[in-house]
Amino acid sequence: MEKIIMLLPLGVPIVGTLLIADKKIIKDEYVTKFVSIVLFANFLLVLTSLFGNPLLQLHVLGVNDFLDVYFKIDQMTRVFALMASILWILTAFYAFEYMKHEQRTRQFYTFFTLTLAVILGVAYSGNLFTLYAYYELLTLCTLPLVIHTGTEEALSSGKKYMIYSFAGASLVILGMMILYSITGTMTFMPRGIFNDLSNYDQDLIRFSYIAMFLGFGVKAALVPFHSWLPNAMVAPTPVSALLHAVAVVKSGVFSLIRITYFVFGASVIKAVNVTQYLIPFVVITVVMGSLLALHQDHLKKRLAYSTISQLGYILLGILMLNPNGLVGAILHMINHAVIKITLFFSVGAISHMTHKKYIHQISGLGKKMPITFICFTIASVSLVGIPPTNGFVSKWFLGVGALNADNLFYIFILLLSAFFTAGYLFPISVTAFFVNGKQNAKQQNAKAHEIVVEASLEKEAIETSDHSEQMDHTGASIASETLDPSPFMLVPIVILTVIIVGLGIFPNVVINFLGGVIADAF
Amino acid sequence: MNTLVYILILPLLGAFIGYYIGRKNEMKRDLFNVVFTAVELLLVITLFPAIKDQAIEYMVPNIMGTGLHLKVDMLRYAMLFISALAWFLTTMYSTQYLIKKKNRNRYYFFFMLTYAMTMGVFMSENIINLFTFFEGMSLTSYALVIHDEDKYSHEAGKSYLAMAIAGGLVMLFGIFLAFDYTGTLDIGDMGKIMPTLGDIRYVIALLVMFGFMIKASVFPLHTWLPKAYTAAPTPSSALLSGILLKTGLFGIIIVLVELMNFDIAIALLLYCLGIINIFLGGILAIMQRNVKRIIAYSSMSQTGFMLMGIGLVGILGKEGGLALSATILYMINHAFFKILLFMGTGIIYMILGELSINKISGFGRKKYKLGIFFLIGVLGLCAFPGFNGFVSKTLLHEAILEAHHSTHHIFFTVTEYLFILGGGLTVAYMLKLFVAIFVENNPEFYGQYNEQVHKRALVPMGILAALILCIGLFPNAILEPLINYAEYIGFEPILHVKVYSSESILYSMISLLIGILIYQLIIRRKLYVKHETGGAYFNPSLGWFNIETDLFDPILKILYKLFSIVFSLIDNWLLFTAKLLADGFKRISDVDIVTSINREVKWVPKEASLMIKGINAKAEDLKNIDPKMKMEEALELEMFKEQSSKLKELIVRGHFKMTSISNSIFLFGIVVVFCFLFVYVIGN
Repeated sequence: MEKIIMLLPLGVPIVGTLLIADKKIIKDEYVTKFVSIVLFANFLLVLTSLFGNPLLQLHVLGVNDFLDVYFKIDQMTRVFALMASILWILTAFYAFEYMKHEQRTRQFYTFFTLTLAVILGVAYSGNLFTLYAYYELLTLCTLPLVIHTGTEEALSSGKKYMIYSFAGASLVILGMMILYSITGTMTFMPRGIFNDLSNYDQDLIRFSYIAMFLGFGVKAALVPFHSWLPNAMVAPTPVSALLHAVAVVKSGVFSLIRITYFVFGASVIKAVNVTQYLIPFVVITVVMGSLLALHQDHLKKRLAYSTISQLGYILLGILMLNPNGLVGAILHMINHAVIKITLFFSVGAISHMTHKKYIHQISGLGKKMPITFICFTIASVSLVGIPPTNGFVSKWFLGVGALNADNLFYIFILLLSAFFTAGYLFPISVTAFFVNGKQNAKQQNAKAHEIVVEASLEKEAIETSDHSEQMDHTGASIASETLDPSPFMLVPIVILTVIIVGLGIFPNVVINFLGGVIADAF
Repeated sequence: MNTLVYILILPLLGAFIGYYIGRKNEMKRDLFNVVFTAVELLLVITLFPAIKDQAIEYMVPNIMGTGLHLKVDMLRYAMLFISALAWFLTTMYSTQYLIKKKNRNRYYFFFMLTYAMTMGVFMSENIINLFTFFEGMSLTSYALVIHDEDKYSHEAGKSYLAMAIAGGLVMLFGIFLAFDYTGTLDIGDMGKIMPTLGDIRYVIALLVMFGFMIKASVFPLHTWLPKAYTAAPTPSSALLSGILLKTGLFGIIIVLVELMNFDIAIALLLYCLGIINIFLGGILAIMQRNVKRIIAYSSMSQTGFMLMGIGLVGILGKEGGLALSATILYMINHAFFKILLFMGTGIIYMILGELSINKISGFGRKKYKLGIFFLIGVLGLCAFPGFNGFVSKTLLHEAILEAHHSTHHIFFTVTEYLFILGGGLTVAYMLKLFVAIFVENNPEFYGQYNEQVHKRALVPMGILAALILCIGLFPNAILEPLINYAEYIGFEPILHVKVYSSESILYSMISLLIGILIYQLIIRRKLYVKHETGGAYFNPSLGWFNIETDLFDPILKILYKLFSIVFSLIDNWLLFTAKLLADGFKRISDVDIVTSINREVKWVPKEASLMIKGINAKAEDLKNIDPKMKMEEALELEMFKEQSSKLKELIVRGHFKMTSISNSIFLFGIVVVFCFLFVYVIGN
């Protein structure tokens, strides 16, 4: 029974997926309801298996030491699994509204639910082999989501995503082979699997770590393997939000934390002196992401580049190899997830309601979509790292970690990037709230007005195309004061914003929870 | 719960409640805001007995991880008091000023938020709390600066926000260092360890002060000030100058006194920067034509005096009690008269919508109430005996003399003269302003508009004018607690404090004389052009070297361009190399396929190879046909052509399949090999 309870969270979404995929079992109108039931049920199952179950490790299928499907629950699992399940539910509710106008929703929900199972698998993995298997599955499950729209652009982005991911995976395999050849085990252990360093060839350890770091780094958008991420923006917003905030990039980060602290161990990595080769990559990632974000006029692209930079923060925290740095990294993993998902949801709400995707189009929109933009602004403030928001807390720990590592340069990089972050996020809020829409969008408004008149006159003549929808929305913007999306979309955004501020004012909740991870890692 | 927490939370609540009320009824909201700020002021006043002889502290655990640590001593109380008073008066004033403006609800919301943040800045004992409130204040006041939403205010706002955030981040850098070296976040505890550190303490102090110096508009970080003050609605300008500027100075005092334990090097730096500020601000103020700009630069110049005072505290060390109380008093006084002057200016702007002194000259004739209040503000600012500015300036002058006595260094004699000359500059630009508005004749204005000056705007001015006179006439009432405070925090007792003496009045008169001379000789002669119909001031400083547009902007732009180029190269290099490789392979395979049409190709699909055979045979046949073709043969030729095109299509398809697979394999292999090589080379 205990075994079943432990494995249920990994199985239930798959069963759910199979049911959703069949039109005969779940009718079209029940899909969303069923998805929400599955997700809620699974959340409860995750909670029971994480906290209410005495069984914490399980060999499911052990062929030999290498081919061993092994699940294990420790504090790091809890952090990641909880984060994923909670954000999944919020995203689902957002998607219910957002996907109404999209095609092939059934396909979307199928893979959406399936991906949750895979992500939880990543979290539950107890050794490198299982982690790797789930990691590869993740690429395959998310691909249909990325190319969901089916346009030429989406397909080519999907191709790019595949090539990058598999190239990274091959590097991971390389690292795994070397690691297995020198240690003979790949189980995650607190403080790493190396007992006595002198027994091993240090060059091989170094080599293996670099290969795995770069390999997992592909999913964590490490420069120069980052360019799939901005391209994957063609996906529908809930997908981009998930890709960016939780699913893909964070699984890369999670894997990196696993190999660094639970396979190699901080002391070994310090001893073989390997971080010096990786830090340049990370530093470039941090600065480059935020700098390129400054150049983007497309809202989602700007957020995408921002993700690259913020992931750099997390990687930097991981490579600091001290408790504060790790706390900072994990905190930022969580906080960035919450913040970025809020930002994406807001941007999605904007494009959903007004079909505006570029910054120059949104002037004055803040007055029409006040709640959306207030949430966007709070999330921006948090991402810059201004207290009292959660972004500051993680930045604080990263900074203290940098000082513990005796490196002022890291802090300089963090703060420089924070300045750029302010530079690319605040103008969005300022344009939306304070720039008078009339000057910039005089013509647009005039057009919109014409359209409204026309629309009211010949309402029946206009066919239900995308174009007419746009007209309806602009019409609505003038007719009714507020353009904020319906509660299904708005409530997740508001909840996330509350979390952002709440975790900023009372960060100790999470920090105490992370104590267990730190105890394992050091 | 504690009074301190209430003081902090009330304005925060007020912001939201006010916003909510304001959505329904603006009149009620205005009333609510006035009452609310009055309650807050009362709360602050009732706090006085508790902190009279001691400091009180309060700790709310768990907030922001480190807990919210509040502390109020006399310095902080003085700041709290002027903030509460200033907010109360400006709220009252705003209710009239804003009548014609849009987005009033939003304005009051941020107005109250800024209030809460400012109170937080003045009460924080934990440096992280301080930082939080300081940043929050910068962000919320941004909304006040750009309230008009025109191009000019956005430009000013950009400057303001960019500098505030940059300052905040630099400050955070300093806080990180401070925490790393001292292991604590409480300012008091930090101050015990900081002086024992080596030279790193200067780095920390300068980094932490950087953010405060931006807010205090210390040279060369003052560039945002004239723009922001001019762009903001007048009540906001009054608060920016009266209170927010003081948060910067307050922070500098905290760093010097509480963190650095009167470090002499930092003190001398501040002292010198103060002198630069006095003169730069003063000279630029003399040049300006916009009333708000004159007052803005005047704020910068006055900051210089206060900085000199702060510097003196450090220079005199344990004997600097007088200098400290003089500086705090100066900060209080400056808040009073600067807010009064801004309010006066606001009334003019409200009526005329114009602030250039060339256009509004003579406006104030026959507006006696306004004129008298304004005059009191001017005299306070000019340190005329009997007004509050005189008290603080005299004490500051005493402190300079004291420094001179204890060191006997020529430096202090020189700076004493500069101090008096700086006072002269103040007199000169205020004279320019006052004479232009209230004394000069202008046929356009003959005392009309009087009915537009409401009581709601005049009452706050009256209160401030009364306070200015009170402090000027009975300085000891306010000096006593300040001096007690100085003794309480460890300064040596201050024996003789005599504000009014023949000597001090003499110095004041010298300043006044210098000011009048500057006005007559420079302003009237060099900056004033006479026409037939009158005259106009011009501003020669417009073409001068501008730190922001001529130094900061180009450097930042060049850096930004450079970074962008480098990083977009990095961004694209992997893609570029990949594309290059792919193209190369494609070309190679293309070459292979094109030549192979005529050859026996092994890999083409079976169907195609059969067709190739057929076509080859047909081609042999066709060679033998003579040019004059028959119908059938022509048809055959057509078929042949069709077949060959079909074949080509097939081959192309095959080729495509091949290359897309082979390319990706090649590409993949190359990436792996590169990574291998890279890892290997580095690994060794």
